[in-house]
Amino acid sequence: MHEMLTQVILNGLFLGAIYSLVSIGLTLIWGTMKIINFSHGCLMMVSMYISFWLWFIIRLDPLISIFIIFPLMYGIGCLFQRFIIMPILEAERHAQLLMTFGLMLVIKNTVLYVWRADYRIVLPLYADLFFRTGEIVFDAPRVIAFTAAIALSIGLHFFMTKTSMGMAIRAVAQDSEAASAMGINVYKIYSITCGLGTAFAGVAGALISTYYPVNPEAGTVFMFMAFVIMVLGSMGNYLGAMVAGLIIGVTEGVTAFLISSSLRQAVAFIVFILTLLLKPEGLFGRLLRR
Amino acid sequence: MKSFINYIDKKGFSMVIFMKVDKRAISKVVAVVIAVIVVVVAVGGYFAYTAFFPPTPKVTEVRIGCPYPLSGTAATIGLDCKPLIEWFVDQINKEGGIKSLGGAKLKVIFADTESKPEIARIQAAKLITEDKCVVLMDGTLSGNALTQAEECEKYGVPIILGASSSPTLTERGFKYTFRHWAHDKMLARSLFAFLKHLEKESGKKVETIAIVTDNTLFGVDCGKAYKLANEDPEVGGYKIVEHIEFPIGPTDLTSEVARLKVAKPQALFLAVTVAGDCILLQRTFKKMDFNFWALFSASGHHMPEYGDIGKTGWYVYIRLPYGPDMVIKKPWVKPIADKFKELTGREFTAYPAAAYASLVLIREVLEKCGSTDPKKIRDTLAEIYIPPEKLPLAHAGIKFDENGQNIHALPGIFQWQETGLRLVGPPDVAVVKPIFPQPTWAERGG
Repeated sequence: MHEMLTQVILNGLFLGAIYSLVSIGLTLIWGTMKIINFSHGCLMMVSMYISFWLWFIIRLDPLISIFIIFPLMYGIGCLFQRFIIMPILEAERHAQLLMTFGLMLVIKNTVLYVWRADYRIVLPLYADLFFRTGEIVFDAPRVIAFTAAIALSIGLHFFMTKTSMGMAIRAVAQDSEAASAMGINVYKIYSITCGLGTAFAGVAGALISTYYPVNPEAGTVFMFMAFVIMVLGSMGNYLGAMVAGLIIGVTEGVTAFLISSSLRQAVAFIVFILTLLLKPEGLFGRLLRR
Repeated sequence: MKSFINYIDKKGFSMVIFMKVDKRAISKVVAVVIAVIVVVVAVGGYFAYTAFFPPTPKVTEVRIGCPYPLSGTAATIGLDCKPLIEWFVDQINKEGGIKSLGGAKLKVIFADTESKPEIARIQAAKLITEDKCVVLMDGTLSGNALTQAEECEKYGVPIILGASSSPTLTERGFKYTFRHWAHDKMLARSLFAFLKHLEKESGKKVETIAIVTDNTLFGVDCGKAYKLANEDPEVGGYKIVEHIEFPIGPTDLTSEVARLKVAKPQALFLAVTVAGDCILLQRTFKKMDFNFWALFSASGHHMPEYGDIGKTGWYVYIRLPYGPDMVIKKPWVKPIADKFKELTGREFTAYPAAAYASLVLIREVLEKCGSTDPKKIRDTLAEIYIPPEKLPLAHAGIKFDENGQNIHALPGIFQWQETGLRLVGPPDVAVVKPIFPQPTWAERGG
């Protein structure tokens, strides 16, 4: 029983890291542009398909295909910012929401039309590679996904705190007008942020494809939790998103194991609601007191 | 007027029409009265005639509504069925359409339910009220069928359900719902009976079982049906050590399998709607090295993509109205299976086979009743019998009881083996022998 609980907690951490990776992209875009991108999960799903086809056609391992997917999704993110976000940047919030929601539907239905709703499986060489310690088992795809997600998050942290570009992004996130007055090209920062956020979703998609069936609904499933994590970790705070992802992952897993599988998401949402009631700005935000 | 009546009395009414009327015999007033009577009789007669013998306009088209999931979690099912339905309708039309309706052509109108019950309800109403469909067919998700059947009952249009198996569907006293596939209680009992057969054949006694379902209407109803079957002393009597209901489309199932591992059931009874969840579950069994003797599934495991996980997915039993070995039992099905593969690039499965059977039924009903009146179609459905040789399914025919449930619905029991999805039961129709108990993960290797 104790070993199984340990297994569940570890697995919750692995799952949480992936949630974090999806959520970090989302929170980056919100942090700088104050836009909620509903199509983020669908872009992740598209990258799952790219990973699948690269594996299916030329047997390219998803871990290697990340090096193709990252720049590709970065480019898509920049185009997304230029042609979708830019025209609605100053629009009403509901117009922005409707635009990204509409884009989500367009992407999902296009994928459905082109590749149908079939579940597709990526089976890399390490798909069935397990490490066992007593009753506790580590499967290679999740361990790799977890490691990559943590490494990317740390890399992002260094990028944001140690490079001039990262600092410029943070400056724009804090006050875009002041940043602009200081000579920062705000629109260029928007483009880079959107590219980075989408690239993170792309990497998450490639990593998930190693153990999760690829299908048009996959993005929606992860996106749902990513929104919760973004708010829980304080909107715009990528470190907060990372920690919140791990919390939600473990909460879900432990609930399903100790209480009921039906309540796995309900309990995660109760944690989310309680946190917001006690700390409306999220776990890692500044207190919003008047 | 008095002279007119006297005249009729003397000469008879016909004389009024043929004789030359003189002014003394009929006045202007009388002439007007006669004219009014003639007009009233003519108009009244026409309406009376049309009321008792309504004119039958020539039927050129019979509209069949297909509210199928073409997007959402169960889109694979709808997208599989759609091309086959369109092809078969085209074949029927090429063969001369519905003979009893003067060669009227069938026309199918699809509507996307997005795999959601409330959208399914809206689409069913639209198909009836806007598209003027006289009969609907579905047979995918029980939750969708539930709301669609309510709309059909409201508007008095029959709906034919293929593979929707929730018992609720035919337990609500609806008059316009007809299901040719077996419901979960029948199916659950057949799986438990098969487990008893396996025990008897192998000499290995199963003591404990677990029930694992998703939280759809189908999953929940199947879970109840499994419990009910287990209460039947003839086929049940096992100790249920775990009952898990997980949300459809989970991101992970490690916790659920950990629970199962702690409970240590010897056999599992599953009801998981979509193949993706079956794949995730099976791979998690392997990861967690969770071993048991047999897994009986109600759905999901028969989809072609499940076969993509190779030996990780072997030895699962699934009850189906159709499986690949059906072509051995019914060779005429092979051209249909081949056509399906040509249309979709995929293997012919239970869902499109059930849709094919629904169309066979609709054609026979229309031929028999010779009408597009939904009420007459309903009445014909209630009394028709379709022999098994006309169906690409394991059924012993189609004959509905007073609730609209096919009393001849029989499942074949299939098992994933090295050679594919094989027919292993019931024993009298088996093509190959079942493998029981299934090997452990260590014994399987790789």
